[in-house]
Amino acid sequence: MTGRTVTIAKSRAEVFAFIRDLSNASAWMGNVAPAGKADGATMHWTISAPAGVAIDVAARISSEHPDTRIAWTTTSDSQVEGQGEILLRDAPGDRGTEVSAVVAYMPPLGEIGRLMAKLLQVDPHIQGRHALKRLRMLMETGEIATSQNRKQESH
Amino acid sequence: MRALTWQGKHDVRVETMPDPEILNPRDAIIEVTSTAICGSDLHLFDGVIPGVLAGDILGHEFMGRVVETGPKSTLKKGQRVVVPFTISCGGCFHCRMQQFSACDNSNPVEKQDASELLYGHPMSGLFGYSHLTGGYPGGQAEYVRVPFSDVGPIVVPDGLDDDKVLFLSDILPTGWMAAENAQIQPGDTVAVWGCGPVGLFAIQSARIMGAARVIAIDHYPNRLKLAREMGADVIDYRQTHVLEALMEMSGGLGPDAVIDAVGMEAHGFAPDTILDNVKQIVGIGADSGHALREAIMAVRKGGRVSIPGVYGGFLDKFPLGAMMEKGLQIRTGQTHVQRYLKDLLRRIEEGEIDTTFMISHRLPLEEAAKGYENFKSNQNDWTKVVLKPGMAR
Repeated sequence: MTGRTVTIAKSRAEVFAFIRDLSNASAWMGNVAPAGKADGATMHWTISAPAGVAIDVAARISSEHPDTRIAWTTTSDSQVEGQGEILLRDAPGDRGTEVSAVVAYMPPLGEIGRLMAKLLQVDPHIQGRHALKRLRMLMETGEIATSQNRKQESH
Repeated sequence: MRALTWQGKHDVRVETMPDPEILNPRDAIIEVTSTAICGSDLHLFDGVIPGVLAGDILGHEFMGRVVETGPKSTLKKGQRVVVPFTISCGGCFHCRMQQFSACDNSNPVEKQDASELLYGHPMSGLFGYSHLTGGYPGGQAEYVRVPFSDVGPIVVPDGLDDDKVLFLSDILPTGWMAAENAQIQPGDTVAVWGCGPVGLFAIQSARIMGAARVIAIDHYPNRLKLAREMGADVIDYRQTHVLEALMEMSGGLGPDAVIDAVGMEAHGFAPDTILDNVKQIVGIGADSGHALREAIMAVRKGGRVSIPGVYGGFLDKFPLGAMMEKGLQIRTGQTHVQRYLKDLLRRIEEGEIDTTFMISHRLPLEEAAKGYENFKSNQNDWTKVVLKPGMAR
């Protein structure tokens, strides 16, 4: 399990609407592919590992409470089970909204599961923090910061 | 385009690099007409700043003409602008408080991890100052991609030469903020360590802010001369016992405020400096803090310590007891450049502030390496180097 909070200088309603619109997801979550179903509530993403190994996650929105909470859970075609939620709270004063994301993955049993568990300890934690920062960047500036000098540069 | 790249310790070279492009909607591309070498560039040159890679373009004091704009930029092609070294989004918690050098959104997300580990919170994006601050290609080049061009760059009228306004990018607001951080009251005596460009602008700013007396400390004769021309009394620390002199020059009270415009590579042969330097060379990486330690000893009880000098890591033997028992206030930080630009440009236009006096050398960009070497090892005669892309050799 891993969690993290950022403060975004926007109202809870604006943040909720932005997150709930899954067409925004690939911009801030990273590694998110368009979902197979056109129901506006399903998505796929990848947890990446060294040596090109990737774990595919398929999930759907399982519950939502407007302007306050969005929860998701993995579907049967997901490579790993997991669930998570995003919570929104008013920040003090005029600071905007506090956005917390909590995610927990349950790797399968056995050797593969052990390897996955190691990976899942580190990567979702970092990915989650990075995703929240990108969300803040998009909402506060309209852009994701890059220090590249040209398009299609590799790091 | 041609650009000055870091290639290793004491090794900078002008190479041909790809031209920048518009990547984000608020970007602008600037064609550089003048760009300076900063004292803090010397920390990069000396290899004491981590996170610099071979091929990185340096430089963070630059100005020029807008040649291209993204769809959300507020600049227009052809405008002449000075660009702050700080990259600031204008919309985050810190920018909204005018803490522009603390912007949360300008350091690319993947680059933030390093400084977050080092300092507890990620640093903001800066031009040309290591991957800790985002790895943004810098301004010692023919072209620069400037993010958030609606927040940073200030348009300057064509009637003012580059030399008159270039230092709005960094060192003039840095000297100003250093003096502001000293919270100068009428009647104050202010002591400034370091008569490099930031120290000189701090002296100039302190006088404008009403200091009754400004005392400048250095050892280079030419720099002390410039400080005297700014209206300071001077102390050559190789000839004079600094702490005793400061006491006598402040009626036995001690200076009301002190400014450390020296930073992490303090000179000299005091025992603490030698130990600090050895640690830097060996790679344990202690910042050299002789000037700062001396300033904290010298300042009067209840006084103010302003630290514009750049430090990167850890300082051994910080006089924390002196700080506490004397009840000092410490104010420091990278300059919130955007906060000061309009006011300082006005003061330049009205003739209250002149910046050209300190430019000792103008070189073609192609001779940048010579500029670095001399700015480092010939500090008496080379007070400030301005590079001009396109100037003939």
